[in-house]
Amino acid sequence: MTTPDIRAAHAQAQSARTEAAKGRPALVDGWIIAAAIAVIAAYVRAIWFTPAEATQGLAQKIYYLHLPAALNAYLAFGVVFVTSIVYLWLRDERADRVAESSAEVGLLFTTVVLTTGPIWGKPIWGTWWTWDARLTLTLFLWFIYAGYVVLRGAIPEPAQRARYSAVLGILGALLIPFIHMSVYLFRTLHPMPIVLKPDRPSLPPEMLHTLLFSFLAFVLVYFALVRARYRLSIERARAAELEAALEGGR
Amino acid sequence: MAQTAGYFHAAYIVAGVLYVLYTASLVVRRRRVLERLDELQRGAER
Repeated sequence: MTTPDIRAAHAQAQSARTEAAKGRPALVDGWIIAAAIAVIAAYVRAIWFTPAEATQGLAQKIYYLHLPAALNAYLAFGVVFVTSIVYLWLRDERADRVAESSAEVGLLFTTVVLTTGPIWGKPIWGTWWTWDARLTLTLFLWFIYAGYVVLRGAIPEPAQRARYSAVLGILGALLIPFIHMSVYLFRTLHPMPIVLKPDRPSLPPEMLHTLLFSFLAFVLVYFALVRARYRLSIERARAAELEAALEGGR
Repeated sequence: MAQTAGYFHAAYIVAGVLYVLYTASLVVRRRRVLERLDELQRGAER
């Protein structure tokens, strides 16, 4: 091949790649970047613009990370619950994809809850872990949705996978009210709710505003990650369809 | 006030690492699927 031929082949390949890239969203999109900026802003606000609690010191600020992660895990599994019911009712693949995406992101938030909680517990309670009702039930929630993700990977047939995982997704989400009420129902070390309770939140306004800001930043994280995961799910389905069509054509 | 700054920083670092790792896993999985799609499309065109 002569030098002009090589150049022409490179140009052709480059043009094909550009054409392909035009029709496809970037690997990291604007939503993920916006979510990352919002989280960094929430960290900065929590660290430098919010007073430290008098007895716990800086460890109390773990709360601005731990509670939004817990609330977003509730949100994520709540979405799994609703979309799984919708799937079983209408057999709409989009509902199954949202459930799949939300469950995976909810598992991430639960992992954050289960790691930041003990890091707060060590200096405040004197122990990393205790088999307290809320902690134990949250760990069970993690196991259920880890099982959900494994189950989805283990069933190759899409309709059967969607049906089985919808049932597990619904049953797993039923644990959430028990987790939230566990501090009232059982003798527990975990602090009582100071925001999500029947009367007014018992936090000073500057702490409450930081908490709200952080919660909204993590809602944005939830939305951006579910959106990216949903897109991955669509592309996987497209690849599977194409693969099946090629197999059929042989 | 208790000296708990180390725990505070550790919690934020651990959470940050978890979020970044998950985002990276999404990017890697998506790149693999897109490569597979390209491969299949080339196969279909042949």
